[in-house]
Amino acid sequence: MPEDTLPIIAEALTPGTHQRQRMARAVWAGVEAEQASLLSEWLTLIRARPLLHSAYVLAAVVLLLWMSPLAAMPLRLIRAQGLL
Amino acid sequence: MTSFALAITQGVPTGGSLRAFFALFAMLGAPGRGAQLDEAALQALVVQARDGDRGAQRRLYEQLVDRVFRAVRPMFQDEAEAEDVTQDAMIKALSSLERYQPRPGSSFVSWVVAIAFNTARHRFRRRRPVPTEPEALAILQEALEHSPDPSHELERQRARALVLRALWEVPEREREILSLRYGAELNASEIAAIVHLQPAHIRKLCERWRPRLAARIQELQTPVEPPHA
Repeated sequence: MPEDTLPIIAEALTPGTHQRQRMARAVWAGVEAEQASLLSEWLTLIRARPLLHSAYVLAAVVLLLWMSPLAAMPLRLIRAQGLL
Repeated sequence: MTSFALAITQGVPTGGSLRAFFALFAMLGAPGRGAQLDEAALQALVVQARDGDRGAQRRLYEQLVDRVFRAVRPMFQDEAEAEDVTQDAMIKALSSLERYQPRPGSSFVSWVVAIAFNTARHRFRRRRPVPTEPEALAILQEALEHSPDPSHELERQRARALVLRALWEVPEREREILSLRYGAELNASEIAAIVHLQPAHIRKLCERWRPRLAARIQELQTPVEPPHA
């Protein structure tokens, strides 16, 4: 007899239809938000307020490039050569 | 019908509606519970979902959500908090499938349940207060309003409350293990990996607590008779 407590417990704790729908909505909204790329986020921003947000995005790109090794290394080399 | 369901319907002649409800559950299963896929099929879905197949992601979600919720529900007094933890765990799992590494003897479900278990434990550390009675009543009222069959929903809520009451009488550590075993339906080795115990210890704990839990659930279903004058 005790072996059969498993389905009883599982069935009693299973979420109801309404609960399941509510969780599904929240999970898919969360997954969408997690999976949205940085590029698509920026494009959405630019579409919303093209002029102001383009300036922000441009500033962010310059800052990112300036701080990344990709841009820093050639800049150091140029400085070392005395060109700047 | 299972022997426990028979014992419920034919046993002690009291508590009719709840016993009938449990028997119906045992025969039909809860609404919306689909067939569980085997491990190979789940792994195939994981591969498809990693490649961005939304359909595969949704099927994975449907396969996992009930087991995750059942694993974490007894860890919280608050129904909404268990929902939050289930949602957070499912988002984490579905968004980090590329990090999942299949291991021999360990199912994909156990990986997701481990995420949920850790999320629940993290939530415990910054626990919200236990919901007040009006809050709990509001949740019940909402469930009843959205149910096509309010009387069935009420019975379902009563059955859940009864099982949860029996589980909450069990010490915390054992309750977690019983939830993982009978809620998430993980095996002893998978549970051992999550709670950092030996599989033999898990088996022994389940053997010890299973009959006690069964007896307590049956006892709780039996209404207390008023004392004779």
